[in-house]
Amino acid sequence: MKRVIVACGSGVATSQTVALKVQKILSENKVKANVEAVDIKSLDQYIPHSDVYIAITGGTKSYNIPTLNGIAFLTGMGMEEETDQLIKILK
Amino acid sequence: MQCNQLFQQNLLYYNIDSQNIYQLFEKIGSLLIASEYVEPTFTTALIEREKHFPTGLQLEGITIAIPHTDVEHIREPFIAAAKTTEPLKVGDMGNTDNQFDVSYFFFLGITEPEEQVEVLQYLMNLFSDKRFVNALKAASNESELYEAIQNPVRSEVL
Repeated sequence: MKRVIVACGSGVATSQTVALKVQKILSENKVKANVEAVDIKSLDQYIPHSDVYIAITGGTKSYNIPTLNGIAFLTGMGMEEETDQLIKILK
Repeated sequence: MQCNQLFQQNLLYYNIDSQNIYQLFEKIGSLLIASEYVEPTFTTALIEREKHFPTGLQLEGITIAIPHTDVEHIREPFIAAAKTTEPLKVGDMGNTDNQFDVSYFFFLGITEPEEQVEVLQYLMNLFSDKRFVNALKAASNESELYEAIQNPVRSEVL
């Protein structure tokens, strides 16, 4: 199953909130994937085994997997575009 | 858990004067330490975290900041809100090169990541309600701020 990871600055609440939201959106759209909130310090370990990275903090590093804007899922602003992109990648 | 109960009238600070966010954090941090919601390590942790991972968010009709620390600095869960007299510069959570002018700060006291994911969801829902955003902006003291928070929040929001 495809794997989506979400990371934020302190791994407490923001990445978990977005992960839950994304999980909900995916099941509403009948798309199967594993969605996990991960600690940003361990991000490099997770990236090779993941299909999409949903970023909440704006680091300058770029990754070789598709990276989406997590803030859009948090605030709802621009969420539709990110959702469309996410579904496209996972299907 | 009723998220709106995390807001308490004594944790609403209206018209706080600060030159910058670090001064604001010192002020609010001291108040929270004194009322034992947080550990004495809270203020330093809050400032450090904000420096590395800013918490400014652009929502519809308003920009806010949601400063918070790791759980070990929090004793009791809470949401403390502060409105500053002047907008302060806050880093954009999603883009470290960008800054917002923010007057509304929501300090999150989170003790259990899983249970309190609801807190963020609750806040995001609250802010997607235009009536709340308008009432928030119109509030001119702590009581009105408190009313604005508790009123849209009757059962329907969660």
